[in-house]
Amino acid sequence: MFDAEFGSRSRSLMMRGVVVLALLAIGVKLGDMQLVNEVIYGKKSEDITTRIFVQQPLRGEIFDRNGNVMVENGPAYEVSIIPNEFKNDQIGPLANLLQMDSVDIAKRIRIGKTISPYLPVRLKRDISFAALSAIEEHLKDFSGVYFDIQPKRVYVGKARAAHILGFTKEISERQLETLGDYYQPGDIVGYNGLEASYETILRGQKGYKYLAVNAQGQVMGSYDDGRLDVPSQDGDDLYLSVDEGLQAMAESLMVGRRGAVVALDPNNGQVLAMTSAPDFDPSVFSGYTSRAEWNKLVNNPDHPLFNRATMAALPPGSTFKMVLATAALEGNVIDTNWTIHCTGSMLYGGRIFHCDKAHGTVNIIKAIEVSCNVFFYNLMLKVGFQAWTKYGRIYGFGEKTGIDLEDESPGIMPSEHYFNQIFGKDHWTNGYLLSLAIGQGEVSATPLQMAAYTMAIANFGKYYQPHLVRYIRNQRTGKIYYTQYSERTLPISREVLGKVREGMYYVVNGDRGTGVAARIPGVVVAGKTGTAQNPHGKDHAWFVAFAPFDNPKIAIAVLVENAGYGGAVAAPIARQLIQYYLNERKSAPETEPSNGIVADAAVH
Amino acid sequence: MFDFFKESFDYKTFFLALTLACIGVLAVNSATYNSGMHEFFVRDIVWQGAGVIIALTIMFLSNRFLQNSAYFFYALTILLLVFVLVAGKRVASHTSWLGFLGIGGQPSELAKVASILCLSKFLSENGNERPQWQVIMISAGIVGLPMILTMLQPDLGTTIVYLAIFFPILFWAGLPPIVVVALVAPIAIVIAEFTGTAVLLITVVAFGVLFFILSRKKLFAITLSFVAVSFGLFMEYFYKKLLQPHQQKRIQIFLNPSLDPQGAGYNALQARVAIGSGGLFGKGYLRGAQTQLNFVPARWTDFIFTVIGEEFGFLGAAVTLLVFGALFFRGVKIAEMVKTKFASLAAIGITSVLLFHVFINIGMNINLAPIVGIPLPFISYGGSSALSDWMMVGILLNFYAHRKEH
Repeated sequence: MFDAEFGSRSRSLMMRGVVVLALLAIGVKLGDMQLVNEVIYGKKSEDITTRIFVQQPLRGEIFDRNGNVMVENGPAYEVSIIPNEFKNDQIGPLANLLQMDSVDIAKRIRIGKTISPYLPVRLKRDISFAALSAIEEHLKDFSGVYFDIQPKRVYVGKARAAHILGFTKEISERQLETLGDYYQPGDIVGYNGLEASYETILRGQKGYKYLAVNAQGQVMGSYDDGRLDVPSQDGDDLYLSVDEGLQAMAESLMVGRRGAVVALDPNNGQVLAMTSAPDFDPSVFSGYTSRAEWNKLVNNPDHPLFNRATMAALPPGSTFKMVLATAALEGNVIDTNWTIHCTGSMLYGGRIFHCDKAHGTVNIIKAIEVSCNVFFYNLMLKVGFQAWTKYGRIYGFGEKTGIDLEDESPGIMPSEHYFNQIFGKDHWTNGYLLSLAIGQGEVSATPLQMAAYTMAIANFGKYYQPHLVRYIRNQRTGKIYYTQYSERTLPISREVLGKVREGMYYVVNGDRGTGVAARIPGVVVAGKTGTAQNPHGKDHAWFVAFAPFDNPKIAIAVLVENAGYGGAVAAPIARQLIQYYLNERKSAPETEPSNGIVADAAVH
Repeated sequence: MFDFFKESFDYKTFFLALTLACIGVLAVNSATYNSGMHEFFVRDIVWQGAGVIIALTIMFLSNRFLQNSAYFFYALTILLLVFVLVAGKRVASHTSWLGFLGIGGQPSELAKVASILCLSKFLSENGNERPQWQVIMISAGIVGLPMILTMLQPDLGTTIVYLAIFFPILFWAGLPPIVVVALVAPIAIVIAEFTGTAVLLITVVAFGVLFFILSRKKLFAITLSFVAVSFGLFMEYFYKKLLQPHQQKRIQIFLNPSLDPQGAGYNALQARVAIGSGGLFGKGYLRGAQTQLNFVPARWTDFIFTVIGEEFGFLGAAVTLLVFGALFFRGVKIAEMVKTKFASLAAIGITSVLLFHVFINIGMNINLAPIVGIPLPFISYGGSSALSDWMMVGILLNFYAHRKEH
């Protein structure tokens, strides 16, 4: 087709021309750099070469709802060495001084050397004052050993709030791979709690300083008058909805127990207090964490690092009866005239289902008050699996509440489909259903979900996304960014919720109520007790409550593991917290900034 | 045997390449001297030695062997590329390294050689029977397949190398100038768009003028110009309106790394300072402050030229360029002297691929080209690239040995 021109003389000349042009272009540019401008580059190279030094920003601070500081930054001393100036026979004495493993030191030096023998290698963060003064004293005996001051987290609040705040930690190799390009080895990163979920907001932005370094690797000053430098930007502050006093009280009430407390403001879903027991001291992680301390926490059989408030999904027991009550009333299956005669037990499918005593003739309100199982067994058979599942889902069970923490369990809100899956079709009976009616068996919820459910009942059907952060404040500009959260109106009529609330009123205030331990003089409290059967040991105690009855300001869920009867253990804890929050708290004026703008602080 | 070497051994090509390999070994030694990665020096000698053996082996292959096995070789490397995509080990976020018997290897390096041979075979055997547009489409397919597979790895540098296979070989095969210009136009317009609206305007006008000069049919020239203008307008719209600011910025940084002094620009800046400070004579072997103090990253692979520039100065760099130049001239010469069309086309393909590597690699060291990470032939450390470079030398040696046969 185009053979005529194949390999022609003119084309061969053009090929040679391209070769000459390409190499000439390189040659000219090289001549310009190496001959004409050699002095400029030479000066940059001979005396000064550039090296980037990272400027770490200060992490944002965290405040409670009254503006009290919960986490701030303090100084930590760290020791580093410059491999080129360091002699390896010093490893032994230095390891002694720093109480480190000499193998560990040697390894850090070896890794550092592959990056550059002239750059400092961090040996140990947050050394003790004793070690620091010992090093200062012996500094002349060591060459190439330096110390530096770096910020560390300091927990200054009255409450620990360990599971809310979480802690920071030196970034792991795995996180370096998954978290993206921003991080470098040795960086501090939010490991869990708010420190992790608001990491990008709290951490700020690193700055870069270009320093001139001479041929010996010594820093000579800033490079190019600092024109390339990028200043670091400190992280933004978080302002929480948590009331420090209530939080501290919740923590003290849970000392020595296992369980969780969650208190919400039913008017907006703000978390007033959230504690998981046993907890831990987050300051253990703020500086250097020894392997022994870490192992002690991780291997503790009570799992103090585990946030029970959002992660522990347990059968909710009788506190779940309001779900069935709602399904029955909203679906017009029964009304308040429908009654059951409770003889203390019920025979169904060849099995005896128990009540704690014979309650006699009860309607739905009385059944909630006295927590009559037999009533709810019969009601479940009338209402059916499907409607019960539907209203459980409406109350938010079986899915995460969306709280602004990373670790949250959705719990289990079973359906017929789910039962067919786990047991096999036709391999489960309506007997299983009877257990579900009273919140036992294959149903589970977290304390946070229970608090949110109580909130929705208390406020006549508004489900606010529970959240800890009210707003974010830019440290530099002082600008306020309100975080936005979802809310939904539950498709449950005010009338139905009124009857459910009436039942909960009598639980605390009725003659035969199971939650009388939550009564507070002068404040009308409504609630519901629950006892979750535990195949591994003593039953778990639940109590959910809200108050004041006519204008709820707090909704609360208390879980105490292996504590037995809910009304006896969990209800008094709720009572003391409500009492404190409504009556004893020094109602400091809430810091509600006026110059705020609403912003979607996409954190997750 | 002596007769063979007297008559059939192209010692010029061989010793030019060997000189470059020796410069490379010296440079790798210097680049790794102070870094704790000095074992790369020994490995480089081993790879270059293996390369020489492969080159000599290919030289001794029979006359038509390369041409006859070109399609098979091509199919094999395509399979390897696909296999890499499916099962490749991830190295520095690329999936191009194939673990085979414990040896890492990049099939994309082999695929370059195979594509040159395959395209040359197709054009020399079937190039005359089909209409021009079919030949162009099939040629584009031959080069495009490995190109797309390489892009998916993703390895941008090696991907654009295929352009340096496609255009020069078609050009050498005798494609009319108007077609060459029309094929180059869209690529030039894309690059011009990213550079700036004024440059885009000049480029589009220049192509219009070229179309009118090169085409005798005015209507055809008008059509081509119209297409070029529309494409330019579309690119303008695409770049300014459809791309997000951060995407625009990424392209800008790619073309001009000094816009990003913390990232890509840091390497470029350090490389420029190192080379520029070399001066006329250089700082002396193993005495480059920049390279010895580990200021230049990846200095035994992509930025190896900084070692030559800093320690041997302008003279050392110029000598290196002259040796490369002599090798490329030799490649064109071989393309002229061989009797088979296949060998002639393949020789041009090899020459232009090596030239492209040299231009882009040194160009990114001295801020003439974007930083895309392709090695400097014979000089950068790297097993697969050393082997493929020497394979190409071996093919040239083979062509020379059989230069008088049909």
